[in-house]
Amino acid sequence: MEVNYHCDDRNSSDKLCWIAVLTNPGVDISRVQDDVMICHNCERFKNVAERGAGRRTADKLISATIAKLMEQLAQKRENLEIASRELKKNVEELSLLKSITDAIARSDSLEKGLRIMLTGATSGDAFGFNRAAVFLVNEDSGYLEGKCAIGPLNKEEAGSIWNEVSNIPMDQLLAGILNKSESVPCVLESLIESTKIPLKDYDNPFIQSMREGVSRIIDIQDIWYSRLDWSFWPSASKLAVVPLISEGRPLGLVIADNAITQKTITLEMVDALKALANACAPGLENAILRQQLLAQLRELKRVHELLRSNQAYLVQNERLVEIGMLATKVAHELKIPLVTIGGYARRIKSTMGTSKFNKEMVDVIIAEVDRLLNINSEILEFSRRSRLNIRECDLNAVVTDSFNLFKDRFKSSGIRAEKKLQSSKLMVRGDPERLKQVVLNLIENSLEAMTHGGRLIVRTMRQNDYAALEIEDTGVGMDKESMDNLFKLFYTTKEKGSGLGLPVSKKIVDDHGGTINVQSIPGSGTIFSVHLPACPNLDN
Amino acid sequence: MAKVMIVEDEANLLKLYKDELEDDGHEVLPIDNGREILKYIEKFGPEVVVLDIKLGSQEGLEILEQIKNFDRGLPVIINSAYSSYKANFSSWLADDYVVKSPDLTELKDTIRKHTLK
Repeated sequence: MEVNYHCDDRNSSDKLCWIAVLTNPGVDISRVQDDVMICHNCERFKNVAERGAGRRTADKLISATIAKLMEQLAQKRENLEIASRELKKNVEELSLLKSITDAIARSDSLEKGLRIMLTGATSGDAFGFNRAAVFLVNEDSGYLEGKCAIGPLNKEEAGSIWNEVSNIPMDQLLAGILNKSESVPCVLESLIESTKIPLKDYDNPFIQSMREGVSRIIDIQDIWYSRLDWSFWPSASKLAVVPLISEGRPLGLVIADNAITQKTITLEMVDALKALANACAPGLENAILRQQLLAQLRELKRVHELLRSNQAYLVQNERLVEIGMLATKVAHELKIPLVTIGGYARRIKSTMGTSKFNKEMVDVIIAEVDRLLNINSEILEFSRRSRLNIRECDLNAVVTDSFNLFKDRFKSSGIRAEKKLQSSKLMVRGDPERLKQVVLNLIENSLEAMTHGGRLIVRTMRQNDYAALEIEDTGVGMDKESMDNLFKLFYTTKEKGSGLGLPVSKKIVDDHGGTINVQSIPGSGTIFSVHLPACPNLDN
Repeated sequence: MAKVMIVEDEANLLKLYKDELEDDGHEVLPIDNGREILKYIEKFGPEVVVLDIKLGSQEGLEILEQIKNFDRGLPVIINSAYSSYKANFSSWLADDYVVKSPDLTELKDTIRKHTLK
């Protein structure tokens, strides 16, 4: 007869029966060792064991010992299974954390990193909160600033989002965030983003939690917290608050709650959230540092560019100063020889008698020496350190004096010239001699632009705190290039110009704290306008 | 006409002044430095002194002060290449200020002004 070595119990029919094996010698005992625990619960086995125990005391002792051993074994096995389930859960959690931190490490922006962490906190097969948000410390502004949030505003909004997200596996969610270029913020996020808590508000539970490095559950109905403004987190009741700390440095804070499902927030959930925050913190800190570094790099580049252009400017400026000093020195040296030559030329002219031919030649010498002396004094005027003989003077008088000097020139050049001066005195604080030089230069400039006649208008008027002078001509005007270079030293478009008249004028006006401007239309004319600070009390 | 003393260290210019002023009938004592100026004044007895003042040098201004301490009533005309000293109060001791120019008309007019009194 064939022996059935298998267990009678339907659930364990693949296991061998201990009794069958032992009562039929020849079977390898080692094969059934694993299955002896099944027999521990078997009634038939118990009966056999007890019957055996009835005969001799020694048998009874062995039976009882075996029974006890088996019981203890059963207990240990159960413990092992529990531990193994725990371990499995922990491994799952760790691998989840790993995929989250890996994703953060791969993300190219802080914003994505934060979103990934919050996705972990809210995803159903991960940490399972309904909603979560993150705040970051901004040392510069002195605030804890809301940065990112995930989750619905309330139950109504919950429906759509929950259905969308709940069935998508974590890895896909994370990959989605990583590949998206920009995410559309939810309503909750826009609320969070405009939330700022002063870092010095030590009564604030968020600030407290962060400073102390302690995670906690806050009940906002609590008397301490109900007085705070919770509008940034609608339909809240209980809230898990977990500080985000990297190497002892508080980066910010994660908050999460179950406002939609009303599921109780357990300490285990807070611990899990803390584990998430701790795992993510180093990656997020990297992202923050990277962001700061990039900003500093941009600033550095900007400053570098600025320095480079300034360097060029400085080098040029230094050269100009050297050239200016050289020009001044040369001008000083030339003055006396020119005066001497010119003086002797005049003496020759006055003592030479009546030879017309020689007289003309001497006239040329005199005229050319005078021209050189004019250029010379313009150079000296420009380089001379400004020592103004400032007093209160009437700009109208200065203009009239200068204007009158040109009367003959106006007539001979076919210029219709007129003054339109403010009827009352126009008092300014200035050096009348130097201001006269400005007016002379500007009128001279206008005359040179009207070689075939034209119209010249000189105006003065009070404009707020300034005395304004305008010199308008109907001359050839000038193009943009000329206007840009107008006040540059030695720039001239005229055959005989020294390129000094306008720079000197500008310098004098600058020294008076005034401004000089030009408007011009090629072919129709030019207006120079000068503004000088007017005397406050003497404008009437 | 008048006794004019000219202090000018530029020899060519000094000669020009001398010739021009002598042509106008003045008696001219040209000297090319200010050392022992008072001795010359005592000896020559000028009615006016034309004095060169150099930029950046105190020498001319010191001579002016010596002359004025010696004889407050003796007119001194400063003859400088630059107008800068006009604003320097040390030069206000002088009776007139003429900027050097190849055209000597202004200098001559000023000398005349101070010797016709």
